[in-house]
Amino acid sequence: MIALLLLFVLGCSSGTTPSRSVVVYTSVDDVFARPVCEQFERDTGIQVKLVPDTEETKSTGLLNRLIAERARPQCDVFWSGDPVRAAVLKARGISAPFKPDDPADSRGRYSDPSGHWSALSARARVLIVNTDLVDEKALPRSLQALVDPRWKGRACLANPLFGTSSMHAAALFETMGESGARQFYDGLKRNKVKVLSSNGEVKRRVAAGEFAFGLTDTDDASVAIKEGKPVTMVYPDQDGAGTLIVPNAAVLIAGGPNPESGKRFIQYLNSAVVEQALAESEAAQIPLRPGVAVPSGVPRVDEIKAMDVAYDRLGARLESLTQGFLRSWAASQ
Amino acid sequence: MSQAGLDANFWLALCRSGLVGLLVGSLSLAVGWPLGVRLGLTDFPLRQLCLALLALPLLVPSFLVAIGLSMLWPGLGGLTGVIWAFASLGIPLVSLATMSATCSITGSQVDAASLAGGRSHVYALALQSTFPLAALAATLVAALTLADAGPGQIFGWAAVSNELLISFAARYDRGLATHQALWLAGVAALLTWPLAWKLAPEIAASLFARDVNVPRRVSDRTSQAWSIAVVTLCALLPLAGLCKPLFGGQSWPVLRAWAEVSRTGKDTLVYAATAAVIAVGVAFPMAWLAGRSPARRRWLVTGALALLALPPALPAIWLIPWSGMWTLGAALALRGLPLAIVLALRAVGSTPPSWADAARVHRVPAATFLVRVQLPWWARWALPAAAISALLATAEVGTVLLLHPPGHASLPLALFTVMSNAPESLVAMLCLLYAALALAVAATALAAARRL
Repeated sequence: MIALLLLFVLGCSSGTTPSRSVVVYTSVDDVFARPVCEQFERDTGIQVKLVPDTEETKSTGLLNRLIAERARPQCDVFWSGDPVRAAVLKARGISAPFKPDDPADSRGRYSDPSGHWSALSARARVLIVNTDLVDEKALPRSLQALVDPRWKGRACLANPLFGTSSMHAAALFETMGESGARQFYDGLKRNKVKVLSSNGEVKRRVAAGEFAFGLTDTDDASVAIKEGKPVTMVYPDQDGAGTLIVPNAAVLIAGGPNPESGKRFIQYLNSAVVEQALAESEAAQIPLRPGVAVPSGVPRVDEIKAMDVAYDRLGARLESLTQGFLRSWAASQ
Repeated sequence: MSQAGLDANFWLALCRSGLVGLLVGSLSLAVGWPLGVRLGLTDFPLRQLCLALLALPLLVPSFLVAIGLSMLWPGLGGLTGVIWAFASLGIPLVSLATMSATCSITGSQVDAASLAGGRSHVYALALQSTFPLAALAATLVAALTLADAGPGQIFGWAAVSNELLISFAARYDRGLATHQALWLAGVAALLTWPLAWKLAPEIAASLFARDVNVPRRVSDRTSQAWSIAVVTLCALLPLAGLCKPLFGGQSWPVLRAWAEVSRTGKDTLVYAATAAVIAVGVAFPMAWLAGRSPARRRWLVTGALALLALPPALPAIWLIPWSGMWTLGAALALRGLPLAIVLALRAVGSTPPSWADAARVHRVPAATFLVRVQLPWWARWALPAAAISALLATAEVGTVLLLHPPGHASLPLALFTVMSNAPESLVAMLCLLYAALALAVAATALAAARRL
């Protein structure tokens, strides 16, 4: 047995190490980020040392590491799954401004005006609906379905203190106003909407038929659809306030060990090749760059009525919410 | 350092956690203690397999057990789900600890008890004799539940560990998280201190060497039925839930899963080995220093319980500026250190004082006595201590996430980073491979310990 273990260790040798490297921390799901990094390595010869994150509800989260490393950064690029985490880094003086040439978000709608993050391929916050339980004609079309008594006890969402659910909460407070958003969240409680640990749990439990529908991200819903689960996704409020778009954000870390390689990686993330690859992956991400071909089932960003929200304000809004209303709301579930 | 987190929500969550700890500890003691005695005194077909499967929940992160149960019964939630998930770890821990204590009862003691009152009298006396260690193991279980946020997150039970997670992962406030964690560890120490104080001398006294005339295990169907029931509830059902996607008609992604294992296997073993060496290297000198002094043993056991109640990622948060392989190994060692201390105390307590006396009389140099007598004797406890430390270190995700050198993730970390959006069949395959590797490591260590 010991000999077998030794053989296993020897068999796991990592091979030669290229001389140039870039350290990338990412909160994008490993299964989607790793192929992009491997392609970058092949194209440039620069080794990517990838540190992917777990879901925040499963550990302390990678952002803590970036914050704690502030005095002695180990990371060159933080590839964030949403711009809120990027805003936290900017607020704490951990990121450095860098605007890529020919950015994917050419109109600058989702990127930081001062260049602390550049936005690329996006997800959206959608309703995932179990088609065995809900008829096509009765599909919920709005977030208001979550507070509709017709669906009492049959819907779920992820804990709004974490991940994209927290960003969504901040966006709702921005768009609905303080009292409107508080009413909405109180309505969720009255309507017995179940709060789950993550968007992945929402996907899994809706697909299993435990709930009729739930609020999650497009990549979760897309994976479930590709796995043949009895679900469909609905972009909510297309005739109202719009759907929240959640772009990826590439952040250059101030004082990182390989700044030039870091900038090159951010340039690469902003390329059409990467946006197309992410669109074609199981994540089915929505390209921001006009003209990138999308597979069937993936909409162009212009085809979605997007929620009108100032992305650079969401970080501060979220910080006050997690210390106040949302924390009390989540604790009372 | 913010004080805002120590509000009514925090104290309410602490009470809820206390309730969970109390229920899980009691349940683990009620089921695991008699089961452990039976496992130590009886034999039945497939006993070894039952023991291996009983150890399985201890070798994986609690989150996986909870996910496995929730995948099997989507409706399971709240307090019931949390209790089940934690009891799946607690009952095996108490059973195996009790079994190990039962195995130190000599054959002549068993024969005498049997002659005096039959088999039931043997069980009664064995229960009485093993109570200190079983109670301590149940207390360890209760302390472990306080710091573990996993099952509470899955089953929607707001516990104090979730409050800490919010401070860490939603507010990025390590000062507040530390403050909360220290309160938690203090409360845990306060609650467990009386028991540790009462039991530590008994543990010291009851663990002297008696490995002469090992009792013959008698065949017993009741023990078999009991073991199978517990193994099913604690190990097989969660495992079945995790593997369920493999039986949904999809192809088994063996190669893709093996690629993940190959990528992370070497680093996983290196981290586990480093943690094990450090934990054992610290625990045994501490136990040696405590010696046979009841007071020093009490403080050591109480300190170990308090350490166990600390969230594992807390020390890591403060070690990030020095992140690297050795720092990671040291931080991971803290996870296994409490159990290594208990085993080290047992090793030191079981060393006959007459050996040291004889060495002194014959003027054997201290170094020679240590190398030729003491260390080989301690090795039978050091190996299981190292194996347990290695496995607990391997199951730890948060610490590895915070401290591992970029590009060198461990297998459980890889599992947790792919599980949110990878195909369910890949996650299930990785869980299976991880469980198999953990069992292989445990079996290797136990086999090596048995040979000594």
